[in-house]
Amino acid sequence: MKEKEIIKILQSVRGEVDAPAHRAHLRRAVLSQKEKGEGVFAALRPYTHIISMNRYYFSIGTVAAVAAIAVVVAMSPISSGVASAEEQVNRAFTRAVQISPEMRAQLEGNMKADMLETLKEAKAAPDLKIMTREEYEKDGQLTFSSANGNQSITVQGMAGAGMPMAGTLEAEEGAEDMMFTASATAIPAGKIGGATFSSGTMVINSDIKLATGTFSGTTAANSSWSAPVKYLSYTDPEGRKTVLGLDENDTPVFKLSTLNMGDAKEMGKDMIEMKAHAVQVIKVNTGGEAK
Amino acid sequence: MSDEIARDRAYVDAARQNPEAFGIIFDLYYSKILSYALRRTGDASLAQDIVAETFSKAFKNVKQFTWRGAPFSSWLYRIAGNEIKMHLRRPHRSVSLERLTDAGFDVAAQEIATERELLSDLASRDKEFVQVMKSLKKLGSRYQEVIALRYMEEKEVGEIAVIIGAREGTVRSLLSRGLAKLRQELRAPMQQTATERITTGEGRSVLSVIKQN
Repeated sequence: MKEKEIIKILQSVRGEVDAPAHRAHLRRAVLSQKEKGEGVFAALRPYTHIISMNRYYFSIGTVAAVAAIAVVVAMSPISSGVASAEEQVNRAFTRAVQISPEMRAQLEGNMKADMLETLKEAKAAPDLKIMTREEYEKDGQLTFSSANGNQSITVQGMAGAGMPMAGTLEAEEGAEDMMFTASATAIPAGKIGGATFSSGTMVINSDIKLATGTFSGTTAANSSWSAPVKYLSYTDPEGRKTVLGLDENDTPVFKLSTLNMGDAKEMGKDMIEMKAHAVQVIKVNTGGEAK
Repeated sequence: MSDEIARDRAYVDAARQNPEAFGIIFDLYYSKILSYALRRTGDASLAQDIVAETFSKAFKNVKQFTWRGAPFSSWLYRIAGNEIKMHLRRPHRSVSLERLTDAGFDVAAQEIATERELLSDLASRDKEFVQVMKSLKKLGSRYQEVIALRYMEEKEVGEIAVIIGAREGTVRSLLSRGLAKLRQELRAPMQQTATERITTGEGRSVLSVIKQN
């Protein structure tokens, strides 16, 4: 038999096998184990050489040294609950893998993004940082100008209960058409903004009124959706500014990516981007009421 | 491969923070490691034990794991490979799933036994492959390992080098010599069979086949 034939035979059995019952039981068994060195001794492992020098008779100095270390550890940022952006992503990742696949799928449907992939890109981003709510509100505000530049519509990203504006304003005809129409037909009519929505709070401030009377958009109102209370910002691999919102349990609940937030000139592109992250349908009539 | 590494990094970081997150690594690689162990050993029960030992060790030591420019799975293959070697040296081992679990753990023996039968059937279905594997097992464990990783698991030479802890040149050399040895091993039983047949008066056609090869 030639070597090529041998290789062919070896390659003929490629592919993966599975054993679901064994898999399920082994998974449970493995995860119920304790990690190596977990607990008190793991924390002391770096100092075992100090302890093992005199196993039974700790000197006062050694005890003091260990106590000092314990104080330093206790005062460290990690233990004080102030998480860095990277730690926050790690926590979010842990949370993301803990929730049920059904819940994850539902949240991903809302986010219009793969949760784990989003966290992965956030973690890899060199400019990953924690964003305050104030920063988000400021950065998340979009102002769109009408065609002649006289009119503008401002959509404030976060307000009240912290409803994201992610993906709002998706017109039935398509975002570009809607905004184009809005710009072209807008007539001064006071404000249509200030609308408060039962699913959260979103403020839409505008100096314009839509001639057609209504426009529709998307925002979040789903039983599985909870308002974000933490924000992370980063630039995604395609250069888009991205905001990732986490709820109080560190679960990723929304993602907003725009090419240039707040820049009216980029509005069209932004809207296309935002469409991908749309999360709920809202309707606003010319009187500013939400349905 | 860099995408895989980046993804694995996120998973491993999460597992280091929270042991439960190791579950996603388990889900991702269980089938791969089981398949590898099954192909290497041809024994479903043993393959399952090797998988159990592999993930058990990985779980316990994930905080000590260091990246070597290869996916996380390379480390799992390495652990599994070591477990297989240990078995080759010391065939009688305890059943690790049972050992892993507490006394009250429900092993679902019947289901797992059924799966083992199916896996055993799978492992022995292709007679030609079984013959090659029998011969492969006669080679040194190092040869077995690189041949299995390269041709059955589709690993690149670079990754195999990481898995077995050797230089790439060494891997290439092991592959080349291993295949030559395997070919010799495969020839031996055929010649032996032919000799047996000649002595019983039915060997001429078999001998001619051997010469052609």
